[in-house]
Amino acid sequence: MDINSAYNSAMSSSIPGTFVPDIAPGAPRTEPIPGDAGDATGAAGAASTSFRDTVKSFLTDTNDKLATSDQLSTDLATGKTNDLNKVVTSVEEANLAMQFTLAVRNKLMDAYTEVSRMQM
Amino acid sequence: MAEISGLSFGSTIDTLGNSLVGASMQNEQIANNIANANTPGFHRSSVSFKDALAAAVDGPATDPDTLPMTADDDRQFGMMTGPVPFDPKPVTDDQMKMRADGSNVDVDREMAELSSNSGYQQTMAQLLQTQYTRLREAITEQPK
Amino acid sequence: MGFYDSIDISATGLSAERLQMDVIANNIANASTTRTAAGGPFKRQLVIFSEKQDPNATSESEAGPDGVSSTAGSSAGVEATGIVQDQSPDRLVFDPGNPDADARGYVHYPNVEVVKEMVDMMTASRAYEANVTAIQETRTMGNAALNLLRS
Repeated sequence: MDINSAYNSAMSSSIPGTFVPDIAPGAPRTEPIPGDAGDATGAAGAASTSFRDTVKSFLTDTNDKLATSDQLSTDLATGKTNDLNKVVTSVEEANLAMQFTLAVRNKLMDAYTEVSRMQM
Repeated sequence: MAEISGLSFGSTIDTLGNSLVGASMQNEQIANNIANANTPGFHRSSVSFKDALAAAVDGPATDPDTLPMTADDDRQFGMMTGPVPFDPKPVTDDQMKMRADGSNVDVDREMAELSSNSGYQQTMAQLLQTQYTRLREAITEQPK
Repeated sequence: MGFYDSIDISATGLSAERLQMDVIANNIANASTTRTAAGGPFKRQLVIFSEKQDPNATSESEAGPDGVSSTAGSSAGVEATGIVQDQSPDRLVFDPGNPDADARGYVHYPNVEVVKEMVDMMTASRAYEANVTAIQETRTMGNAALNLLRS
């Protein structure tokens, strides 16, 4: 799960009119920004399927990290494992994943609110 | 934690909270052992709270004489056994070799146990704090 | 092998060095004892230490990053397996007037050299301190790992 591709997918579907190809992260933009609405909807339609998959894989990843850190913490408490470093790194990773999810979610909510407030 | 209130925020928080309770019980026993280091005929005691914690986490051990319910699909319900309460008790250790005055307290081991227990308590407290921080983040929707 | 195991291992070291100190103190105190319950002079005692094997550990082979495999030890510290008597000959002092003199007029004194015992005592004391330092360092390492979570 790449941070860049997630950001690109999120931005491309929440702000119609911009199209960022999310096939290869870091690939140079070869197509001009489309001007007409039909092109934008088509692009947004193609991008929104991958956006859902992206979000789903993103959340699954975060959930897995949280579950792993909980399991390792419980193992350390019951004495099943004695590896403090592994537990601490997994907990920290889970914290970061959680905070990142929250930050991305807040950005998306802000973007959606701003778009819905636009005068048409 | 389940014993303090009826509300439970998840099994990990319960387990970590119980580990703190168990660790402080062990602390009490170690302090008692050290205080009685020179008492003739004294046997050291300890609390095996980690085993009690493991039992509370994993559920009750299966009785080999009963036929367990088997499920061949994840959607089928299993046997709902009640949770094992966390209930560690101090036990007196009669196994360790005794000195001439009948006491089997080894002050060095007790001090090392004290240090180890203290480190364990700090670790569990820190992990518990992380859990609470995560909950607070989810509730307030603000990354800390 | 983990964080809490290493404190237990250092604890066995502490107990072993303390036992060594007891034996040395006994030797020094009885450096001139010519009569014991078993008859004959006091014999210098020494402690036999052996590596304690951990009955719960399974020996694991781990392949390091460069392909070198090492077997994780199953040792759990040190234990004292016995206190034996030093069989070197007694110190003989010619003193025919002494009630403990043997037929030739020599008195058997214990084979304890006080200077050597003092050196052994310093060694045991330093080893004890080293084990205490090991425990403290283990705790410090654990705290450093926990500091990661304190953001």
